[in-house]
Amino acid sequence: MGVKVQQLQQFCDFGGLATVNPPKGTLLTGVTPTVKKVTLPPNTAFYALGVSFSLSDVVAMALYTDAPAIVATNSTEESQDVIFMPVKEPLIWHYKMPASMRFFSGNISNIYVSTSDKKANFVFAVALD
Amino acid sequence: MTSIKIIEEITFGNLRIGGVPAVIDQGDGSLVWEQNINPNTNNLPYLFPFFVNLCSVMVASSDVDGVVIKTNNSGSPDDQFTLYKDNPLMWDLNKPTSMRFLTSDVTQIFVTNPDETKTAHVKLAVKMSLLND
Repeated sequence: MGVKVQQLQQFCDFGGLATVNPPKGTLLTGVTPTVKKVTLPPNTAFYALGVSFSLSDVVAMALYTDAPAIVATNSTEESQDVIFMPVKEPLIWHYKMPASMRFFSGNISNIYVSTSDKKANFVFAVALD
Repeated sequence: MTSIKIIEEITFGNLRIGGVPAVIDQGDGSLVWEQNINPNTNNLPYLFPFFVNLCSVMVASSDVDGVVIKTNNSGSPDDQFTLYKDNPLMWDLNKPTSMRFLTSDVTQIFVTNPDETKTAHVKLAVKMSLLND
């Protein structure tokens, strides 16, 4: 039995000029997401999450860290993507967003996470079609 | 200076990701466009000039599914994206540049509302630095 994927909050306030604050919406039901939730010690180099998937199969995915972290994909030496993660601000993509906003540029064979001199609680979740 | 507050949160079953407010202070000018777009509107032009590389926040939303925004040229736009009800597009400078939904400087936008009955309330807003900074 799968779970529900919901966009809970998307709020933006342009200092009173404009506000975007839609109600929460269900994106998917009955999916079985892959979730990797790890606490990484300071100065971790290339911790492998051990996930692989085709980008075209992704219907929703998210990355999150509560401390500085760098994400690299597929190779630690010649990475397909290198992402300097925003801190405490998730990177979210789902099927109602343009494909160009996906934060990975191709199929994923592994995801590697590195930390700074701070411990990081890191989360990756992906739901596939 | 106008601060812009952003919150994003998604759940995968019981796993909640995000939900912490982010406040963006960089940039000192906001450009906000907000219009009601009649049903069956095709490529209605509006001026919305800004330089994408000076942009620190960009947000687009619609309360009707399927609204399309194109930039600069309705026939061969520099950027084109579709908006869905309750799913705004949001980008700020903490996120990778590759996640911007507007990638080129904009002079004009063209808005299409394909819905046959519903008027769409559409918003496009950017925060940017001024040229003489």
